[in-house]
Amino acid sequence: MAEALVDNVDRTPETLSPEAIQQDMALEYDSMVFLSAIEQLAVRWSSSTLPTSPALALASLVDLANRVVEFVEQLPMAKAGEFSLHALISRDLPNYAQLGLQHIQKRRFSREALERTVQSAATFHLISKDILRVLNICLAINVKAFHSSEMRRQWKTVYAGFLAHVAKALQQFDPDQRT
Amino acid sequence: MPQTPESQKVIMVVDDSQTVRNIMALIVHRLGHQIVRTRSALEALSTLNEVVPDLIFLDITLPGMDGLDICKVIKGHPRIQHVPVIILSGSGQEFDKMMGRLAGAADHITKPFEPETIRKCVETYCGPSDSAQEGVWQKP
Repeated sequence: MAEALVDNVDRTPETLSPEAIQQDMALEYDSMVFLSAIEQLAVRWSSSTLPTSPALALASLVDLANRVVEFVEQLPMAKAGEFSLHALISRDLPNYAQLGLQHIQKRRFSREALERTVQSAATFHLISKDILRVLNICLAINVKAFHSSEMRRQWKTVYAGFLAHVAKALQQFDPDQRT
Repeated sequence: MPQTPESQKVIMVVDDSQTVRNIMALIVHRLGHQIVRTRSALEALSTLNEVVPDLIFLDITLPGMDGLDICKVIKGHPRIQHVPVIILSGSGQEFDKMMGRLAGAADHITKPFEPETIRKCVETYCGPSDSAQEGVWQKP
């Protein structure tokens, strides 16, 4: 069966200023372009095209994560709050199993630094979980940037689906089985 | 059942990526049309028994039967052969475009795409909608 037409449910409209509506539409446009692009990176994680080595898998994940960080840095609310990957990880440090400030260089994840940490399947999975946590926080900042509660709800759902797909693909990846 | 404006069309998307289906749903909704989302050839063909959409966006790479084969099935079926099919693919290569045309597709869109590309395509094949959301994408 086709998926439910949830988009056609009527909801009480909010009163937003024309400026807020325009800002939301511009943000949504950028978010759609961004998500369409990172989805193409995430497609590499689908079962038939899984990266063939731990190094490639990690490189692919770092590429994805850095795109997300770059996008969120451009959001007005992130600029106002002086968002940085360094600050984000510093604040949340106790919640990461492997990820640390040593993995950041020039405001981005450093593939070389992460490669030095990832020495086994176990550490790959731990660090990929940590990176997913960072992605989740970054995408939540994107969601909060919408003025409209309806758009926040929709984008929360869209990003949750995207992250669930990436998390599932990473979980299935076994670096020890690939050379 | 609520009345829908005549300009509101039914647009079908067939893609195994939930994210692509969700982006397409948002775009189509903002443009004031209805969306039907399916994730596989089987699901798409089953849905086409019940619904005749005004436009179909079809991913070229699907589990089981691929998008080109589904396109050929659609174009061989008298009840739905008039529905324009737009092939979505991760490659902008001429070969994919040619294969799409040979299968009967009206057009080809390369992923990743911009909402504006989808909008132009929808307007080309469905016309403008009277129900487009206020302020929809004034940025470019």
